Amino acid sequence: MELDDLRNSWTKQPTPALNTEDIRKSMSETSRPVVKKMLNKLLIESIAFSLMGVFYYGAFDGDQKPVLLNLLLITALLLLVSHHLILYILTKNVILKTDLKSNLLASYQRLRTHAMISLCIRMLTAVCILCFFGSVITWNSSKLVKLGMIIVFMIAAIWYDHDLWMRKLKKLKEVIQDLSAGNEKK
Amino acid sequence: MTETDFLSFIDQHQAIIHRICRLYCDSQEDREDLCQEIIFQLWRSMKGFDQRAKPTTWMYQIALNTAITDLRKKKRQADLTPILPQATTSEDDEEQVKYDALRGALKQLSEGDRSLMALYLDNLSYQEMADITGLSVSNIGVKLNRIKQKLQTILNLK
Repeated sequence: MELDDLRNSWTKQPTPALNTEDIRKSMSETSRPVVKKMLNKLLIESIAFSLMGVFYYGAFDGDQKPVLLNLLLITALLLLVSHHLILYILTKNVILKTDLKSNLLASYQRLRTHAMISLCIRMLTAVCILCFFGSVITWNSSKLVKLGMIIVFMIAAIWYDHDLWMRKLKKLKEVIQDLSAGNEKK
Repeated sequence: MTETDFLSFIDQHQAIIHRICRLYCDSQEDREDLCQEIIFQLWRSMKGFDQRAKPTTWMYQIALNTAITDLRKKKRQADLTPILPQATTSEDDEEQVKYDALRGALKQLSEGDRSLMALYLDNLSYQEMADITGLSVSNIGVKLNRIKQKLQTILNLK
């Protein structure tokens, strides 16, 4: 099969035809799949952390702790829940450089910043929660087990998050390197 | 460009977006999501668009950047099985076989190579490809030759 021949098949293949209304809908921020996905995550995490908040108050002597510690925990949970929103706000500005290579490089830099922000938020939250639990708690074996489980879960979650970000960054870097290989200045 | 101009521009050139979505996505749902995201990014970036540049150059840049950087890659690349051509008789079927063979082969290329092929398949000149990608014209030529050879090998192996 010859490539030029195949090229004709590629361009001849029919494509969907969006009408004006479909296009207009796509221009709206709220109908973006990424926004819908983020709102779903926000809802699920809000419910999960609200339940956790209710649970901690009874099970981990939350009512006996200083207000400052309780505030620290609430701030940490809010930060965790809203971090998708924070990342979304940071991506609001569209990257528009002079060409694809520069666009991809700028996207890579932005993704790296997002990865750092996201991981810092996760770690900060974990530290806040651990400080909260470790501060004035009256330790017994049952509470130590619960704390241990939380620590393991947090480390695993942060590690998983880190791994995901690294994979995304590596993939994008490979595309940029692939595209830039052997290129001299125009 | 006013909203009306933008709508008419997208309406006129939407095939470019659909072909890029087809190149990067396997499922219909992913293609629709990507198409929607590309139109949104085009709309948002319109203010920063240099009016002296060709609008389609800007469209290719944004569309390819969105397709490559979009983060739902795993789902999109789930099915990388090459589509094998089957014996048929009619002319339409023959076209479809060629298309399926090409699509299967394109899926085996890296994403960077695929972006260059998207431009090559749309019959763009080397200069236009250089303007869109930021690569030099000579490098475009070298890269395209290498990619074409790779594609030819994949297609002949089938």
